[in-house]
Amino acid sequence: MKRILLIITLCLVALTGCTSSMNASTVKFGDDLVFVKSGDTYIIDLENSTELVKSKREEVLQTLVDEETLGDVVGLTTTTANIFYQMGIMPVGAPESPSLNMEIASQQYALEETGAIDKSRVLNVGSALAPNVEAIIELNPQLALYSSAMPKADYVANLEAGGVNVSSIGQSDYIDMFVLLDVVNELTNFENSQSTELMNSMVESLKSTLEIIENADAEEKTVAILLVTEGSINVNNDATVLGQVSKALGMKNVFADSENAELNKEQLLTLNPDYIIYYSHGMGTEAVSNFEAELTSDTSIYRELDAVKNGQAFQVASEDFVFSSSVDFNIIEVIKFLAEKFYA
Amino acid sequence: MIKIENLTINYEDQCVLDNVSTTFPKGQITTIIGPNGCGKSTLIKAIAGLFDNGKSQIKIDGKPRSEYQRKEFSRKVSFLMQFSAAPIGMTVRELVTFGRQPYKQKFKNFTTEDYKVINWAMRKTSTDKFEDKLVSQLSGGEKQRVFLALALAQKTEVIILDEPTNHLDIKYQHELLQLIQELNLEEKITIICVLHDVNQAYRYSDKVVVMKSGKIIASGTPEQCLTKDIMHQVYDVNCMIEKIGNHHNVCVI
Amino acid sequence: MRNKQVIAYLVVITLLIITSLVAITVGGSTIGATEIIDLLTNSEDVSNTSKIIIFEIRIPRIIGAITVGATLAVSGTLIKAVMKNPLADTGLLGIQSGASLCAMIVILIAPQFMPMLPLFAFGGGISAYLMLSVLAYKDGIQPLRLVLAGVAVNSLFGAFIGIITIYNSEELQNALTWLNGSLASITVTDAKILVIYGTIALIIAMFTIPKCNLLALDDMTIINLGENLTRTRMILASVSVLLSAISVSIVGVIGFVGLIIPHIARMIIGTNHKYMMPFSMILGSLFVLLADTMQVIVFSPVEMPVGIIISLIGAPFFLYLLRKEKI
Repeated sequence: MKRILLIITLCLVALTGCTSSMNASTVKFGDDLVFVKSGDTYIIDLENSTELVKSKREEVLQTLVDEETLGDVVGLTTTTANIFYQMGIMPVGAPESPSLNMEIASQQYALEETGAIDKSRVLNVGSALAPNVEAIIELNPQLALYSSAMPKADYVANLEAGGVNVSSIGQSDYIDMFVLLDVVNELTNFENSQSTELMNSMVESLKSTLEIIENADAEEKTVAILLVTEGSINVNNDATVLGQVSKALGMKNVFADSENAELNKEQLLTLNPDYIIYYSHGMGTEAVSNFEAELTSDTSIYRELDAVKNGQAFQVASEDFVFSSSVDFNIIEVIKFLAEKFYA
Repeated sequence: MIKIENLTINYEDQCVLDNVSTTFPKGQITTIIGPNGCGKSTLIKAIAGLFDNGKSQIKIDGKPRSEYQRKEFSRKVSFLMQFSAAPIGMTVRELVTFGRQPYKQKFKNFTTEDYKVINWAMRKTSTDKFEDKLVSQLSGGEKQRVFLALALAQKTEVIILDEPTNHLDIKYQHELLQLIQELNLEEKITIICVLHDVNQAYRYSDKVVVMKSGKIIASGTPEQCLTKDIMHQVYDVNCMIEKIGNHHNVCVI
Repeated sequence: MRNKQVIAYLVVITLLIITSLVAITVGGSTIGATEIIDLLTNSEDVSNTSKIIIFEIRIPRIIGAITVGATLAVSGTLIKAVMKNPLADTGLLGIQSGASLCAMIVILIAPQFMPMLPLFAFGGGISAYLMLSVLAYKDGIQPLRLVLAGVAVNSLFGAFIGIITIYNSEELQNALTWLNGSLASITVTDAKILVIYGTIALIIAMFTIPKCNLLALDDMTIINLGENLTRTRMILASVSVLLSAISVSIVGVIGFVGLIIPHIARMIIGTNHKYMMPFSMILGSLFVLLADTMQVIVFSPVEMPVGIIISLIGAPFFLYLLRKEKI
């Protein structure tokens, strides 16, 4: 089985290698990702993409195995269940959460109610933090996935002891999303229209983003990315989601090599970035409005910052997306939003 | 004069003082004796006001204990309870100075009058010789004299002492009791004292109150109270009263 | 005051001034002594950013450290006097936990009351103290029972804090920083609150000095002197709780300052609170400012909560005291 997969992969690599002369249908985004059009669908151009992309892809491929497995997946994290649904793959199990996709929720059933496993519907596995381990073992899916942005929880060992194959799925940066789509497209022989269309639309969106960047002046701009919570502000370095997006968009993160620790305000003042972008997770709206009030106040210590004076300090938020710690396909909206903010 | 009428005190469901009535005459040394647990300590603690109940049955100069303000009472009666722990790092003078606390006006310093009294109290008790020493470094006898100086500095009419000779060597026991007697004679201070030693009570008191099981068995002059019969009744021992030199002594046979 | 005491005072005051001067020249940016000298000689040459860094970040932080140290040390001095116990400390006895629980609830539920945070924290601290009194008083206070009651009160409030943190797990990161006691996010407003409340409470504390000395006597002697022991204790404990509540509500729980600083002050100055309490206050300021400045020098630009540094220095020293002295 594995050998066959390997051969397929090698064939694909060879195939993409042949067509790798950068033609008009090639899209390069950031330092890592290169897409190429193969037939009607964009695929990742492994020849021209970096080792990072290759290893990520290899990992996802090994995790998802084949089409049969794809149809029998439990999403242990809400966002994981959501992204599978968006790719046209209904999970067989998903947690109970207000942020779970409505369509999945409507298919959900609780084992206590029905008393029997029904793989044509979606099992309610309970809280994402402490799922109903016994029910999942009884469901016996081929694969249970949790977001790589979450730490490995204690219950995973119990699930594995019950014979469930548990794995984390990349949701830590934007590359992960494209890699996942690419693998799913391949495993479904490009016959899953939802995932191929999603890939195409996302790459098209990247293309238009790149156009915006190209039309802007070449000067490199600096940015500071802040995570705002009640009473404390933390910086985001280059390894964070927004750090990577900003980098791919040609920005220089002033805290690129810092720890993701509490903001040293003095440092921010002396680094004086061109843009300050901030976000909050969960119920941080109060924290954000406090921070905004502080930014705009006349007596604020931030008043001399260029970003504040030029109105280039803003929250990463819009009606189109909710930014959370686990990346989902909304990341394309975040990329578009930031590109427009940075280069408009 | 302190007068007690029908005082009953219950402590943790036990009757510690059972309908006690007695008087402590002005200018005299009155000693309370009795076996352990007879209620003698409770009686003086009640006078000192350490119990909430029974305060109206105790009258000091005709005024019930309950009607006295804290400061007012501490200018009238001072008491020295057993096992007064030596405060850490405090000198003799510093400790005796606290005796003027009841006279101190809020947010004001001590007056020269206060310092005069402090010096006098230390001189009287011969504690002025080591006034800069730490109280915790003194011997048991010296410590008791320092606390007596503190009581003296309060300039009260009455001083109540709970077994002041406890844990002292016999020499210091008599030294202390002689000092108390001296203060009584020279300064006309009324002394109420709980003593363990019957002979010391005989020798130094004007009046003796004998207690057992929360009741007063006898009260009056030492000669009236410390008889063979009463000794037998109270302590359950046979004894003789012998006169040795000028003093009567109770000898257990 | 004896010569030795005068020298001790001069030494700590000098050290405090020196540390403040060092603290003003170090931080997350390169702004140092040259900019400060420029600022003093010819302020037009200095950029606005430098001015903001010096006047609105570093100076509030120094003032914060000094006030926090002073309030915690005096609070510790008072609670030790009330409890007659060198082990007594508002941090150890759970009073700070009570205060931080209330402060936390206000921050999460009613952020509009933030300027009155010290008062709410005071309410929490007082309830912890009352619980402690009920648990620990029985025929006087036994040191062991007091410490055990403190452990109980501490873990009880700790549990409540835990529940709140779980329910607001999104803010967990920040709550932890706050619980460790951090001076990093002190703003000009915070510094103002600290100074106003702190000064008032410290002045009140200085008026209690005679009562603190009085409480060194045994209970019977105190009653003999016509003192209302219960009331005196309650007043002193309230002032102590107020002092730590002020600090807790702005910078979070900082242990060991109240525990070891009064102890050291007593070893140097003696037991008379008239000299010891102000000394303890200055020594506390010096200790916290020194710890925070060291933290900046060593870890900057990473902000290490000063509470962690203090525990790092304080805990071994406390263990040393435990071994050396009969506590």
